[in-house]
Amino acid sequence: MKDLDFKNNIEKEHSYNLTELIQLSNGNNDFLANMIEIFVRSSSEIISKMQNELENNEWQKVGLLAHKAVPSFHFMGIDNLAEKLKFIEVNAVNIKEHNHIRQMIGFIDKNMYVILEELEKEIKKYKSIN
Amino acid sequence: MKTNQKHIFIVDDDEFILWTLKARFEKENYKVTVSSNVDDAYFKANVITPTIVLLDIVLPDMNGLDFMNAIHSKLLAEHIPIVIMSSLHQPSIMQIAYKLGATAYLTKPFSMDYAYDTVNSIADTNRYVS
Repeated sequence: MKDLDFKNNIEKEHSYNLTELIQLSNGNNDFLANMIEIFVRSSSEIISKMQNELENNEWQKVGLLAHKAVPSFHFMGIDNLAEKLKFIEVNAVNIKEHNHIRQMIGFIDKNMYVILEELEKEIKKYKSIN
Repeated sequence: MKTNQKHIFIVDDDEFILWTLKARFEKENYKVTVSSNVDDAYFKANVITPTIVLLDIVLPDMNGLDFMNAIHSKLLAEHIPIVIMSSLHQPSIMQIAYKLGATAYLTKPFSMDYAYDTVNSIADTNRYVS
């Protein structure tokens, strides 16, 4: 049952929206592919760093990394995870929230795994159009 | 020789946001100079004369407000408006930004159109007044 709940949550959370990026691209598929690549690279780095800082109990750094991630997540339409990152940014130094934040980071990581796979497909798609 | 092309200097350590902003302003025929770290930004701020500066206030190697303070006299002397962008919403930080001479404060996340409209109207007004 728990597995099913988790899968449902992933389905619910793993959406993104490229509308604004597509508008910005002016039909330039190279630009689109490059920007998605930048997002894939930078968001993977940030999540990996967050997990490292979490291991070291560097809560302030966890908060700063979440702060850094929020705007690009919103821009990519990954609003549900952006809201979680915002919560982490605001509450990272609040000891009462640490367990909750640990769970959230695990949740973000699992969902991002699915999203990044989808975005890799988008990169291939836009590269192949040229 | 003065040209009619507006020139924006964007400083943000978030590579994704930096390049999306660059694309948005280039779409409107702006000349765009970008920087993602304080050393580079400090150097560029002293050798270019942009129409407007768009500055993120949480940079990795120095707080953007400290950076703003450091280049403040040059920008003020040349009547170059500074627009702060940040996902920090605290009124105290906004107050400091305005005290240091910020013309506007954009809270992240924002749409690229909103950022463009706000910055462009300030750039236009400033050019007219200057």
